[in-house]
Amino acid sequence: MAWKINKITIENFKYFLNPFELKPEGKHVLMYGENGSGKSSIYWAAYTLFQSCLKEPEDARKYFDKNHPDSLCNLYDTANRRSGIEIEFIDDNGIKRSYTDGSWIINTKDDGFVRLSTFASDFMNYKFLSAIFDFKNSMRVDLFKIFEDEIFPFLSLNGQVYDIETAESLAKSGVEDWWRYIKYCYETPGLLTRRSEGGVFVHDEKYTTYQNLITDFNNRLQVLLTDIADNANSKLEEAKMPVKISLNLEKAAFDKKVEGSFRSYDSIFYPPQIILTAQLLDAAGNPVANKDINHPRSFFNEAKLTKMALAIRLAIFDRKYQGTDCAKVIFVDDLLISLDMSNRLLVVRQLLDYVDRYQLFIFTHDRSFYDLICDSISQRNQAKEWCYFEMYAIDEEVSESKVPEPWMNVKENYLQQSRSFFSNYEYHASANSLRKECEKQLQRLYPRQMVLDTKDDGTVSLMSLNGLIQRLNDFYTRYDLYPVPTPLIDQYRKRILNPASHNDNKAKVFRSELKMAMEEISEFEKIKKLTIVDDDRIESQEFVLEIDNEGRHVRIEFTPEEMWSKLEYKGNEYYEGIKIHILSITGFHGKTEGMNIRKLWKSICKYAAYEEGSFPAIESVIRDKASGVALKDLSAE
Amino acid sequence: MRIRIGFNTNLTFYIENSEKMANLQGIPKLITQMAVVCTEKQFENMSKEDETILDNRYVYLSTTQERNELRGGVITGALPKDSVAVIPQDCSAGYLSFLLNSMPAQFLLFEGKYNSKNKTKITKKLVSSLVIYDVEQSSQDAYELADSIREITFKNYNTNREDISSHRLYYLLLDLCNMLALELYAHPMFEEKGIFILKSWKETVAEATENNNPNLMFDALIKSDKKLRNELMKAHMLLNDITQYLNSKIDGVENK
Repeated sequence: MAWKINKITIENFKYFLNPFELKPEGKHVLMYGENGSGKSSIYWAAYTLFQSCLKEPEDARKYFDKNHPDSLCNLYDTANRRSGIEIEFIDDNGIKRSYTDGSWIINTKDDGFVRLSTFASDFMNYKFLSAIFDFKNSMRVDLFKIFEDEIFPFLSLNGQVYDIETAESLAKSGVEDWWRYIKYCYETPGLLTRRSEGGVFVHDEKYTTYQNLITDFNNRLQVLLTDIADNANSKLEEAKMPVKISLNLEKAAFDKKVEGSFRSYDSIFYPPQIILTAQLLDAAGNPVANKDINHPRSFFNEAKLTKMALAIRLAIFDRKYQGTDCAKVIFVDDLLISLDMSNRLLVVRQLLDYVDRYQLFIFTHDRSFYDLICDSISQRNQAKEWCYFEMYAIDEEVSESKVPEPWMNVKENYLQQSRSFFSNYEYHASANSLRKECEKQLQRLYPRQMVLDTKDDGTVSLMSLNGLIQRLNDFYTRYDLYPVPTPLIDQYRKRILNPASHNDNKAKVFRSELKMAMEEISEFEKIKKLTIVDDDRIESQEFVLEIDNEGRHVRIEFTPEEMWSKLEYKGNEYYEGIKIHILSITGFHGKTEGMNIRKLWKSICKYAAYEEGSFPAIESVIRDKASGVALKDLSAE
Repeated sequence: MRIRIGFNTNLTFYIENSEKMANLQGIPKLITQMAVVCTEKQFENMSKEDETILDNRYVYLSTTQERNELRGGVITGALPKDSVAVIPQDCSAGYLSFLLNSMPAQFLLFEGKYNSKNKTKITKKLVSSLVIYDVEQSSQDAYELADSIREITFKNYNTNREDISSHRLYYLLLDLCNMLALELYAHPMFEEKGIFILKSWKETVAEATENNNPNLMFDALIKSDKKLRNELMKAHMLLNDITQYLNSKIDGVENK
């Protein structure tokens, strides 16, 4: 990733009246913002600057002209202040370049760097996703208009569009360029020679050239759409969604033969349609029915529609330029508001897969979604590559300037916070942050049932830190994770973490002890948790455990009775000992009742005459029954 | 005089300004400085005088050309009826075929009428006026390979018009060949914009050869993280700039 955004400055634009700076300094950005706090204005500011390189200067400048109907200047501007956006980029060597799109200067037009960055970057929000399926149940899903507005400007047809009169190249190959020119030819009076009765003269060379142009456009667009659909289907498969989509082009046409006549043509132009259909797949990936689903909206729920739309959106994104000589940025603004948490997690995983190649800006107004992303980032050990912001609105009644103002808080994660307090000799505050970090990490790592505390009256609440730490040994045993990464955690709880939470200023927090506690608690961050079986596949996904040794062949088929995960820590893998439901068993007559999968595996290894210490790895003897994929290759973050 | 890259109908400009238009990849020359262009009759006479001509590879060009047809190809033996022969002297037949099938030559041969319905007559005189670049052998080989694969994908495309994957491959290879040719004629401009198509293509071929896997060449055109695919995309995105820049440079040269 060569170039990144170092700083965004916004002035008298949308929500921001006074100059506002966001400084990601080349890092990814995760921002929580209340509704109306200005986060979407940052999204649109970046979008406006990136887009400006494709516009004529007067078209780009109108957004900063207070008197223009399309003005995006702040509504509270009474002094005709200057209005604009500036983005500073930085490369791996610290070299900076800055671009402005504003009332006083626009230096993005015809700039190769900004143009490449625009074609390599993407802006995603919920509007696009919802538009994909925003059709009445009775209507076919024709995406052409959405593609025309949102997608065509950024994709190429890998071939130049040519002038039908001069045969010269128009030096453009974008889908939008092709489509605009085809429309222009039809809509320009006199270009395609009219017959006296208003038709077209088919023997004119321009007519033939025009028909050839339309044929080329149709063929090239169908190739593009097929590529997008194939890629979207791969993403749906990754997201474990048994659906296959198709994007079928109903081709553009001009001057069709009149039905029932031999020589009459209608002189009408028929715009293309991009028809989205879907097929439901069985476990083996084959279509469940022969018929396509032509009205997905009436067939799938909102979450599934969103996942399909996102798969299409990301597939389109993958078609973009991916060179390293520009900035590659993905801006995401409140993308997933209709998904529940488990579905959001899948999407977050997909998005976070881009962090190595792109700079991500994720904006959300949903606190739980924000926390979910934070957790996913820390599970990947990538917290240091991100900066976290929170934005709040100060309304005009209380703001000093009497206009709504943003207030931005640079948010650190608890461990960073603890380190920061420690460096400033604020040991109690440091210990308090450490306590929160400890709580957060244990909640992340533990199976759900270990995090919840069921009271005598049947109510359920989140377990306190004390309770969580008391269960830590059970947790390590569950995964057979020895030696334990945090042997002294209970001591630190008593001496460091608890006094801090009770505001016990008399209790001394010793610097050296706090430092050791910090080191030990930071070990949790290094433990990566990967899901093998999610809760939607409990008791449905079938596995086979098979061991063959010294003439003893044992085969057990089972389904998990609870979610299943593994831990990665310091290069080793630790598989969770979950409860299972045995479906069939051959070649083994020992006890199986009440055994978790780890105990059962050990028991069978012994039965198959393996020496203690030389058992075949659990992940190599268990496989998914349907796909045959070994346990070690099944997990996801 | 305006020169529009890829659509230039007066390539003699390159000869008149050969010193200025020479680039790192080669020197522009009239095709007749590097090959013998002859009619059917002339070819017949030549082969009577020297039969070894029939054993060597040369390029034939059909005298009647239509849209979406190859203008010709590399052959040995007798010249097909209604064709012009281009016999290489200081270059390979495959390289000549690449050039003759590329956009700059295409527009010259079609008298600027791309996508013409009407058939165009190809003559010895027309072919002889072509300007081509004298490039080193390794580059000629790379161009020839691209052209050969394009020819194969064209045949698949032509025999199976409903198959989208055939379309895809043909368009990709057609685009590669056209951009390679465009880069050849406008190399300084490509270099200034940081676009290196021949270099990426050579690297791709080397990788495919090393791994004995021809599919790597297609991967390089399709997969989103591949350098060649992105170099081609970059050329498309900056095409307008390149054309304008080239025109301004040529105007500058002319004014001097």
